[in-house]
Amino acid sequence: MATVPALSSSFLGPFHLVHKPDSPETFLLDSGTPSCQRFVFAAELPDEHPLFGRTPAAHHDLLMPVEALRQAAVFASRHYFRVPEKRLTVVAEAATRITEVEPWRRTGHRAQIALELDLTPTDMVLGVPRGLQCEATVSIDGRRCGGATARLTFLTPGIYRGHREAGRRQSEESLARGFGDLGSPGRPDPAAVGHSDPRNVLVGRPVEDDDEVLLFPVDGAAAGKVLPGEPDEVPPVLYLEASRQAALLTCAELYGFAPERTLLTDWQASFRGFAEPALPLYCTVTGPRTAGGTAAPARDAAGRPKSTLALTYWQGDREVARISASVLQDC
Amino acid sequence: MRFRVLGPVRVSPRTPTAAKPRAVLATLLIQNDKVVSTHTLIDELWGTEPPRTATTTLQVYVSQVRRVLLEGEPDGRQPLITRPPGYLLRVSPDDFDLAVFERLRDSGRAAFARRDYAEASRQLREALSLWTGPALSGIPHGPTLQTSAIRLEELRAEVLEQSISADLRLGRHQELVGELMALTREQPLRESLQGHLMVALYRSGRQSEALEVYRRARRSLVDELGVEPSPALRKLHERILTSDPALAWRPTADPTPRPAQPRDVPVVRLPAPLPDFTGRTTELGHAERFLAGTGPVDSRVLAVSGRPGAGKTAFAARLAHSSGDRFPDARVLLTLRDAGGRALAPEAVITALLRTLEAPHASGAPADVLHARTRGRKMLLILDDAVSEAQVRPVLAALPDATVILTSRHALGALEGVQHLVLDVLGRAEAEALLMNCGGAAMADDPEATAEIARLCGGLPLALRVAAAALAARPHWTAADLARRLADERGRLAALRVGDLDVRGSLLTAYRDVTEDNRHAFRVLGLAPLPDFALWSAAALLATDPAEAERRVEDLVQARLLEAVRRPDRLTPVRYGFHALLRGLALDVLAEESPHHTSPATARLAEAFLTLTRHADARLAPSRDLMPPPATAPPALAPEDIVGPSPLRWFREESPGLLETIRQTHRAGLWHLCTALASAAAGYYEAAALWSDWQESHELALDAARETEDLLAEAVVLRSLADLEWQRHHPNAARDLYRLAWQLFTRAGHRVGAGRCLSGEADVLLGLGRVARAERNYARALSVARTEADPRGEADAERGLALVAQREGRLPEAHTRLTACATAAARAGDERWHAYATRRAATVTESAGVTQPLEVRPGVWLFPES
Repeated sequence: MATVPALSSSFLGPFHLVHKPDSPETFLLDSGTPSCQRFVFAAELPDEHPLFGRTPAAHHDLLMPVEALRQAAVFASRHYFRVPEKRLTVVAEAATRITEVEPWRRTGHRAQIALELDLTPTDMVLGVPRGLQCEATVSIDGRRCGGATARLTFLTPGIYRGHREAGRRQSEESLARGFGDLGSPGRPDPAAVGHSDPRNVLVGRPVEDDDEVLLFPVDGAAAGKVLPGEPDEVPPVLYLEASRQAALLTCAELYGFAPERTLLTDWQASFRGFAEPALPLYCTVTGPRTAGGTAAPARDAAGRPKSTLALTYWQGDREVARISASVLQDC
Repeated sequence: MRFRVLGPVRVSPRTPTAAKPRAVLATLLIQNDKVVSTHTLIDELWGTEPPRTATTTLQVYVSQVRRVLLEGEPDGRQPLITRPPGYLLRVSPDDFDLAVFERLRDSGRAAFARRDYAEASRQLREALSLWTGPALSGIPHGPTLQTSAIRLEELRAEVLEQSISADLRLGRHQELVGELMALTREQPLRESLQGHLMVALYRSGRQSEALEVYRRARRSLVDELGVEPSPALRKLHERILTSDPALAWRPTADPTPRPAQPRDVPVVRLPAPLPDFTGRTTELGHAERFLAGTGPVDSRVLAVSGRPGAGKTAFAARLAHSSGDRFPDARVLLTLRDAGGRALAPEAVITALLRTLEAPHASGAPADVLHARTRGRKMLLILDDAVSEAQVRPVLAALPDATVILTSRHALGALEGVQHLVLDVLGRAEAEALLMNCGGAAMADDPEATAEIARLCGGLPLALRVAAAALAARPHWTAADLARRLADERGRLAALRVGDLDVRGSLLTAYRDVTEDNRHAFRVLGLAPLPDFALWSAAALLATDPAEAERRVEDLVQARLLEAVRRPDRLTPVRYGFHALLRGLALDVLAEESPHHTSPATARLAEAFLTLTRHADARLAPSRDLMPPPATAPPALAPEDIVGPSPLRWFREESPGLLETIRQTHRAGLWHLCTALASAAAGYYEAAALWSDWQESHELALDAARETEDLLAEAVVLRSLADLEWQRHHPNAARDLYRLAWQLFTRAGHRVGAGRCLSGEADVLLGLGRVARAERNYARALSVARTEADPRGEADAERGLALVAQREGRLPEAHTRLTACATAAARAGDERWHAYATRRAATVTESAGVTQPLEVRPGVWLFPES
């Protein structure tokens, strides 16, 4: 799990969030009721990546809809669903996907991104939800081309502290027994992960001790410098960006995908616990297999090679996140 | 969940694809319910040279196995648990093939021991049937799995031999010869198998071959191992040489009684069963309960009704085919129409039934003869495609004891003592399954296109079958190709024709069955907007009052040419609509039979919509719409009653029809209606952020305004499009459109419109951080609004000035401006804007930072750049 940072300035730049009223009281008073509320988010996609600066990537980044969803969900939970400020917003599950690649290609003009959002409160206690189910369809320049979902939980500080403490203890004990000792395999070239600045490289080179699984150390310190998040937390978007980087390295290794033309098209994460910024984090990646070894890449409807990978994030022997990621070479 | 190790290692529902997780799983399974240490697992995977990250990688594999295991556990219980110094897997013996095998082996051996050879053979053969290949195959073997594989193969051989022993004792020697020959070739040194083969051959009268088996076995043993055969095999050889009578098998008497021959040959006249009949599970259940006499009504007649193409005949035939046991005397289907589609008279039906039931010639009235022929008999008669109650009533009277299934397009509700069953179209899943079953690989390869075809066919079984046949007949088409062809509503029926399968022809039978007045109504109602419409739409299209319109549409519903849906949660709880295929038919016959009716009917519908939309908009956002009102309202329309107290709800329910009507007015060249409708809908589009409808309707309206060179209409539409671009946070496009609209309003001399454009442009400037320019624009807009006595424009400008003041930290001024905004909104009669200004005024003192989200218009939040 990962806590969602409190509402603050977004790396998206200015944007509109429009509440779509479905009842007289929401129309008249712009108030929320404890039922599904619909919104639409609108912004311009920036010329340069707001976090990573100039990149050789040929596509807009899935971080954008995920961030948009975060902004909308955090704001709506407070303003429309009256979730108290003291509760911590935790991501239990998250997913994002590209359903049509073409609108995601950078064309040099400032594209418009829009999300149609359905936010449904769950586990109501005294009129206040303990969770929020978020669904979004993504359009770029008016063309529907993707989606994003998230399941959020609002934890009391006490429960949150208890979870973190228990997880930290298990990780520390297993680390002491040798779990997660990967040595120092070095860092990949930034271009290999779709970046130009070495500071944006969040995963190390893969450790290839075994023919069925690749192990990547994740650089939590580097992530803390470039990704938004709370000081004492692993930034939640780390999982998306580190997955993208590990997936690019894996597909380059297995299939020779060109990193600058490779993009995540589907990313589904289930969070199992909180990662600790002070403890080593690593990611394991397994690709599709056949009886004879690594399976050849699949093809999408346009004949482009794609592959689906299973990623797991660990601290010691403790799983903190399970992720399924599909990677496409756009050519 | 099922676990298999007697062959390739498998778990259902899903097996890990990678070999090493399968090896981990197999190692844990072999030690089911025992702790397997981490060291044992590492040895198993990597032998004596594990990688440095072995512990970590093993954990990854265990995690993958756990994931697979959890998928198969409906209660979410994880059977693989950590138990120092390793892991423990606990699976139910019933779910594990090795455990089942061992249980069957034990019970087979016990049966053998008590000389129950039949039971022993059954148990042991069942145990052997669990094997799907070499034990623990498809995975790398370390020391544990290697040992286990050898042990399991030995167990299998032992069970096989014992089952052969049992079969020999049961006299199955002839059947065993082939199997034993194959086995002895595979394992020539296994003496017990050679012995079994010798006995089987000897008992089959093939003594010389039995002796040859011995010679060959002996040669193998001597050549390969340098030993002579065992004493037992040598003894058997001697007994065969001497034709020992004790070696022969004595058969036992067959106790199974021969079945009795049936007394009469039943009369069966049914269409061939459809091998790919799909779905209808619930309806079949109801019908079977009827046939069993356990239905809710004590009746011997089941009336199955449904629209043409619903599959009533196939359904009834399916029932008849599956109920031979219940109706040993006859199962017959008789069509109640002649070849030209005309209804048979009751007498003709009775005569045809007598002929079909092979009734002997007899004197007397045909009805009496039929009565006598069927009395006391267990017969199932399907009277297919009945036209009316009058047609079948005399026939039913002549069938006192027969069970009857009536099929009809109508409900035949006037029949007494009848159980009714309505066959509707298929649900989504069943429709897709039917396409998959009938359409072959092309459908199965593209589930998305298959789902679309199912939707376009409206779940009508006949259409689905024709679609599947069309695809099967054209192997060069894909399912997506077919879906594309069906997407055009007007060409859909033409595409659904293969050979003599013609959906249009089938649907037309229902159209031709109704009166000319109702045929006219059916044709004109084809112009009603999708997906459904209220009665006032029908009244407008038919140019009649609501009562007469209701009679017409209800007649069409009875004839299954229209569908009525009751939705108690809707403003108009009863709505009408067409089946996906019937609207295309209605428009086809409208174009063929009365094309001149199209434009006037569309205009009547649009005028009705305009009256209601303007009424609803005036309640939602008073004085927002700057288009002049239409000259007259259409007759027999009461907007207060139809829209009711909730204009938002009315808009939400009618919005799809409203957009469809705007499209139709544009197609019909009804330009003024097109722009007026779009303009009247804009307030709802803005409040609901219905961007795609907003965009489409206004692009059509802009085109219409330019067609008629209506400057004011063009200005109104452009300003609304500017609002859309602003809401979309597309500042440059919004600013350009506001300026263009301002120019047109100014040229048209419409100062109110021009003033409102200034506020719109100011909103864009404020979003871009150009606060001073924005403030000047708002001030100009306020001045215009006051001069022109436009309270809405005044409220808008005061709102903007309040935003500027708040942004600049002038909070008291912001508060004052918001209070003025509320006052102006109240004068305009706009409750929403009044509520907005009031809540903003209450919170403006709290808003300090310029980075906080601001509600810049009601329900629209601007998150500024940090």
